[in-house]
Amino acid sequence: MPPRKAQNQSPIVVNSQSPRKRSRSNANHETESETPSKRRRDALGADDITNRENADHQHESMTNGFAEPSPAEKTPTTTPRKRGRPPKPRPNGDTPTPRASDPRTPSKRKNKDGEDEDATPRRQAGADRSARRKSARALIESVVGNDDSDAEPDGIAGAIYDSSEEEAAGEDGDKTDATPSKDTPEKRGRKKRDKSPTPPRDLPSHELYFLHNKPGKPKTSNNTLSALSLLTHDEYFTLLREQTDRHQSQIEDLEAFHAKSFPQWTFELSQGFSICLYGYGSKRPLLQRLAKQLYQETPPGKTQRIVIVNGYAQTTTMRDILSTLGLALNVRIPAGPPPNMMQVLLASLASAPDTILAILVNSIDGAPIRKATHQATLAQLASHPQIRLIASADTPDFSLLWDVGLRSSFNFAFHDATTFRPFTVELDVVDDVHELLGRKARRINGREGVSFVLKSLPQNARNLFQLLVGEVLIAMEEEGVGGGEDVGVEYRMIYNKAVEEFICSSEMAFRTLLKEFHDHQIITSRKDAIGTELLSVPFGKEELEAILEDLMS
Amino acid sequence: MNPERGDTDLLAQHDYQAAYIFDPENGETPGRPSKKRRVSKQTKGASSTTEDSILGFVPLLNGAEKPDFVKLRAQLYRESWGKVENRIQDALRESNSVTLDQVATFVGEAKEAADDKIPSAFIITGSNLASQNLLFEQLSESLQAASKSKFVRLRSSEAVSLRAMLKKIIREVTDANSDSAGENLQMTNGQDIRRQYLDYDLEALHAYIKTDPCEHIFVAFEDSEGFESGLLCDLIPLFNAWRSRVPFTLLFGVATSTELLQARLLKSVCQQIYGAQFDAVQSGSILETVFKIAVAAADVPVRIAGPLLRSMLERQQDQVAGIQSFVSSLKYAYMCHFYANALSPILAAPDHGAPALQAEHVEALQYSSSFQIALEKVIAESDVSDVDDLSAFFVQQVANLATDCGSRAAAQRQTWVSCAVRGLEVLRAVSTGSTNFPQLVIEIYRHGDEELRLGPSSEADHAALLTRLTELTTELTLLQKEAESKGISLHSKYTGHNTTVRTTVIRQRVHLSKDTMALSEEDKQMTRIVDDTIAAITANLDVVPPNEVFLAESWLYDSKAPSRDVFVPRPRVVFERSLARPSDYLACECCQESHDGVQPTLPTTSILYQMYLETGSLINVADLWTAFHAAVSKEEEDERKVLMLFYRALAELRALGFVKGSKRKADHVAKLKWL
Repeated sequence: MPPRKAQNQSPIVVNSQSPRKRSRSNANHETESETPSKRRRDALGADDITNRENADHQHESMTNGFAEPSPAEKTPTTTPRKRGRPPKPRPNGDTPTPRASDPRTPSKRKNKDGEDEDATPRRQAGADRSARRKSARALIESVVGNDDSDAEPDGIAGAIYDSSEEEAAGEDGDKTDATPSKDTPEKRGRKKRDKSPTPPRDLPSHELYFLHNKPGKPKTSNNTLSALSLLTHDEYFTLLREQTDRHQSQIEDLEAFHAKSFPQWTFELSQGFSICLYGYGSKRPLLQRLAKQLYQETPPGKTQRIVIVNGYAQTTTMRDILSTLGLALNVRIPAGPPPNMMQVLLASLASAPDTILAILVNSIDGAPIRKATHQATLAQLASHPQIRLIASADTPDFSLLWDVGLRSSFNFAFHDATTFRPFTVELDVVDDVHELLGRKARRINGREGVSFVLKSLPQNARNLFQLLVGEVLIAMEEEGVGGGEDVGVEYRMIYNKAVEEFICSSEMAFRTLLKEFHDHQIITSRKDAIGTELLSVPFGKEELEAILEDLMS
Repeated sequence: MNPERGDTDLLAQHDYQAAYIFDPENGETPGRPSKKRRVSKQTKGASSTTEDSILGFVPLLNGAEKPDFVKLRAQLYRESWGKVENRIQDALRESNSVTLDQVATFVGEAKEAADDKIPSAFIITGSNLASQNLLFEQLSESLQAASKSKFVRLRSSEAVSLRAMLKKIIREVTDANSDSAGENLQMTNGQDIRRQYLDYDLEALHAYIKTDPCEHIFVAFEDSEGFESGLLCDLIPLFNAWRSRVPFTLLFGVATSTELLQARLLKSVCQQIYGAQFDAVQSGSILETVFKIAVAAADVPVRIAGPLLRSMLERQQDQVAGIQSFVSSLKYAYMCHFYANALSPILAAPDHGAPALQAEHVEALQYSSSFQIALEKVIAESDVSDVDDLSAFFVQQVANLATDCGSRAAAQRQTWVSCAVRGLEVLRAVSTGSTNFPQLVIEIYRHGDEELRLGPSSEADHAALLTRLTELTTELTLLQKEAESKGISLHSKYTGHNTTVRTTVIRQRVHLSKDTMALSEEDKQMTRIVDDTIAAITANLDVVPPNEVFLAESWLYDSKAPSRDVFVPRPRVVFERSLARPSDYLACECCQESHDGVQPTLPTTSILYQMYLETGSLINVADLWTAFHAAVSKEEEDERKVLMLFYRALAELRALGFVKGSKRKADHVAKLKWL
């Protein structure tokens, strides 16, 4: 892809040019004779010339920057060949500013031969290099040659071009005095460094993408986090509680600033727009605040019901959302496929024309409701005149969720609501990070989460969980496995034990209890090779013991 | 338990639920019916008419605006937009009416003509999904109104399998009349039918039709390109086979061409189709109509300034947004105008019996640029040399201008609109290249334009122009008659017939020279008439820029930014900015001064983001952690705490879609975004 290459090059040139140039002219203070300078130029030649096409403008200004009153004697040395292009500085002048010179001049060709003779006896590597250089030069010459034929400098521009070159060359010519042996390897070393520079700054992002995605092995170190003991949920939440954000007051201010727009947003909502808040930070508290405001400002003559949907919650399904919406309208919608539920919902809305249903969706781009069908259902809801939809979007790519059709039925008005609030509820930080590192599968907030869930459940559910944990621990002991994930206990066996201990009386009740656990992701179930259902608890042994302790106490 | 605590408890309880009802007053049992009913009754008791509502308008002028004016703005908004919206809706309805009629006629005729084939209408809708929606809605309405029939709309996204589609069709047909008839009996009837048969058995439909006969059952494939061809090939023969018992008629929305659709179907299937093709109105022409009646028309309450209009129209083309999005943008402009501009009610205030302007209004007036232009003009015209007290004079002039400014501004606006719209019309007449151009121009100034709601002009200038133009046309007719009698054809010097190009070759070079033929006396007269006509018209074409018209602020909406922000969000830019320069949002002291390197005081995600920017496509988390620790430990000593912050920041980056897990190396993550 030639265009990419060309673009890629130019910024590198910009960066590398000045330091190289500087050092080169420093080196020139030491060097002497004419030959070395020629050879050096040759070593550089290929690379520099490639750059010159891109850097044409730059080097013009650069050489101008170097400008000094030119010594006149240098100028006439050239035999103007076919064209009067930039001829004068050739003999010794172009070393320091190689880009400014014409690579096709006769003197140069001679140089090449001289260099090759010189290079062959040296090392194998040197020969390789020169071969590569030759082929590169052949390529470049053909390109530059074409360039030359039609771009003949004439008029004022040409004069300026020539004179600036002259000046630069003259200056450099005065200083040329490097010893050959020292110079060449030094140059080469430098060239290598130029080839793999630290990523140049301020590249446009698409350029960076190509720069980063070059084929080949990634060049990252082999360090791992093995020395670091990772955080557990317990430790994380303990630390989190101690943590105070230094920007707390600013964050509050920012939210208050957004809250000032509430009347405007309400107005937009009343005019049939839906609202989408985007930007960095959790917008849950902001929506909560908006809900409060909406609640207080029910338009006269209307009944307003507010439903908050948590798009980030792992267990969110369209059915849950629709049935909650139904509850808000005092209708019990029979569970079924969402389109059917939708019909019932819309029918009941139609029978209550004074009711406004405000739906606040936290994280409309959350993974559980990202699917196209869910978004279509939401769009259908949003386009209903009695329904007002306010959504928050957390990722930068949320607008890709909707095509033209959905977008027009949503009829969104977008607002930047960057809050900088941490995602406390939306994210399960520890699990996310561990999953990212490929360490552990996901589960709810560890021991704390389990005890939180169990607190809201009846006593026999707690007993059942205690039983389950106990059995799993015993199984672990027996198998002598450290990780809890692989150990399961038979469903039948647990059921029998539960019946024995009067935790439940029928399989139906047992299933109901298990369903509750399953919904909260504190148990997992799978089938083994012969089809026996195995129940398990997705925690490590230590955590299980701690949970069991909590339960006993 | 204090209320604050209760509040947070409530929140914590709801945080992990899929959805809950927000009801802070009786929150402990969300959605208990008995309590809700009471609440709803209470609110109903306090009801008042919606006409009075202020739509959430807030007092402007630093809160000093009187409620009367707030209410007036809300009322004006409702009236103005209501007027424009009705007009747009009418136009939209009308625009498709031709297609609708054609389809209805075809459907009526095809029933007999089709024999053993299934009648199908192919409607070429163009690529815009959003406008298809409107078309099919209208089709559904008009076809059901024309005959006793049922209409089922199918979208490719819903059509996963043959069974699902049949289920949907049967359900929609059997349920559809439950709300139109509103009788429970019928609804149970429909359900009974479904109970007897499998819910994808067309026999159920047949049984239903027997009890409730109807002429057509329309099945509309809205986006026929989206349907799997296999599915269509199954469905069409199936419908045809049932046609003797169930009167199916198919409608296809076609975005590309019928040939492409045909190529996707089996030949045997195509042979069963008795079809006709209809072209829906293309969105471009609808847009033009809407533009004329809602933006360009002389009587629209708010005029939209050029740059904003241009960006709105560009969006139509660039983003293939439907006409709906144009209407939304227009509506939003109206909303902004009346919501945020305290001067917006000035013009209409006298008509609506509003009180006199507040002192704050007058002050705001004085700062408006158009007012200052008017003031400068007044002062330039008056003789200041013999005024003793300049400041008193100045104050006097300001007061003069401000009194009764509403009606004066209305008059000036009227004049400007009349001139500007007529000017545009003249330019349009020029572009048509019509032969009786002067007649067209006279028409524009004398009678106006029906479509643009432009009445006859009442300006004095225009009257003069009209007399001049009439004179010139009579002169022209006389001249033409004369020329006819003499048997010569008339030319002006602009006609081009009377110049010839001469070619001479001198010293192997070609010289071109133009020669003008001598003009006859009649031709000279003709030339003069042409020149005079042009001069007379161009003298009236110039209008001042709208924002220089006195108090243009009260009827001109010209800010581009709100519309752009609200309809074309640039989330990536916003995210990039908030993470790269948090102080832009937080306005905090600590992060503002620019050190080299990463500042430890930044929000942690920002710090990590800045490190992220410097990484390649694969990121070593261990190294990232080291760097993060080095940066943050300047502020926070405890390593575990830093690790906690690191965890949080990394999890957020993941949630934002910046990184994902990678299996290429241990403890590495892959970079996903190059913002």
